[in-house]
Amino acid sequence: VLRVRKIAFLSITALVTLAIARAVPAAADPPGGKAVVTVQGMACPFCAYGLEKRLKTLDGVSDVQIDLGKSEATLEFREGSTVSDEEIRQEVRRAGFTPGAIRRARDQVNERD
Amino acid sequence: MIDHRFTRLVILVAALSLPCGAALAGPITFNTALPVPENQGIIRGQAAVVRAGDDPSPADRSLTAVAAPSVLAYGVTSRVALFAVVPFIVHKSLDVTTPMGRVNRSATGFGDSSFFGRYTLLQVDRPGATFRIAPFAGFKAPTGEDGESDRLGRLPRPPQPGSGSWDGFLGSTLTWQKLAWEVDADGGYRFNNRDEGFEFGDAAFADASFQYRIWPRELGPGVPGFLYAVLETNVEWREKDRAGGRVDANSGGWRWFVDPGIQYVAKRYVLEAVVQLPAVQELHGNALETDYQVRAGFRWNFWLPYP
Repeated sequence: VLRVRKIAFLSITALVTLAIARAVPAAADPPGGKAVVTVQGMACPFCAYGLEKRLKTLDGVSDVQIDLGKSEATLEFREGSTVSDEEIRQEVRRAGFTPGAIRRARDQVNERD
Repeated sequence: MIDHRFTRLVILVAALSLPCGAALAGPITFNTALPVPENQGIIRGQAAVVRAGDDPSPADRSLTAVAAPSVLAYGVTSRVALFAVVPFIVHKSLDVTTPMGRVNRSATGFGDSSFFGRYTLLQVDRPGATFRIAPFAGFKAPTGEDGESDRLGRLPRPPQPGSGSWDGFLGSTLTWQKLAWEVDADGGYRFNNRDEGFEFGDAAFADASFQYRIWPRELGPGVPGFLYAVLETNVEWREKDRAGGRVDANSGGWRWFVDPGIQYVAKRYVLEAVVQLPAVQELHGNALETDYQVRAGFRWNFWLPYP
């Protein structure tokens, strides 16, 4: 009986922790600067252009540079930009690719899919 | 009799237009599973030439067809893309020896348009690599001109640029792409319908392509253009046609092509050329065999001005 209670307690604790983690909004990304997103599935120049154009639709992005060999896209933001990681990931998906890690200006990995 | 011989001409011209379904970087002679980004468009233009001859019959038929199919691709979502193929038949000409002497009959104009959708069913992405499977289905609308005539009168049904019938097709395509190479394959079936007593035979097809990056050998920073050596192959089986309720014994059969080609892929455009050489042609009766097909074209990546 004790073992069952222990498993139940741990399960409930894990569920509550998960629910709280999902309910709390992610911290706002720092405005301005650069972000580097790893893009999975991009393997030809013609495809890279589609991603570049999608990322440029983000309000606050001033430039996008793709590095095909590194599977990365570098976004430069205008002063005061508040583009979030989720917005970047969404545009990568809309281009037909899978987003990976995003590094902000200080080379800190914010989130990984 | 001539009417039946013309059938082979139209089969060849149809073969020129439908394979131009692919609008992305990828194979030259058939479709790909690579993505069309959401709300983006790609235009593809192609010029294709078919030459057929070596007719063993007294008619000594000789065919030349030049077509320019155009493709517009649009990404509805990242997984759903719509395609429209409008083949402009620049010129098709058939020379036949008759009791009255050598006769040339030719037609020019728009062919039938095809419309189809493609859904990315499976997508496995890795850095610098992707594997995708995408089924597609669509139809061919009788938008082509079918009232063409020459000095001998109205052309028989088959050599008209349009077929007059609504036809369907479906299939699936597979792409495995890495930075250094790409493999594509597809397979499908075309259901042809009757119009005014004439019906082209249904067709099954399968294609494969291997592209190898020959330049640059080492990838530098940014997005360099890629030069690919291309080797493709196309197999098609077509059942016999029907005219006036009777089967045409001189139609249908197997055809297998091997296609060496070259393709330059830049960020905003693609330039490509391929020669389709017949490896095996097991055609029924005295159906006209293809000598070669040549395709050359471009693709242009454009962006719609709203997100």
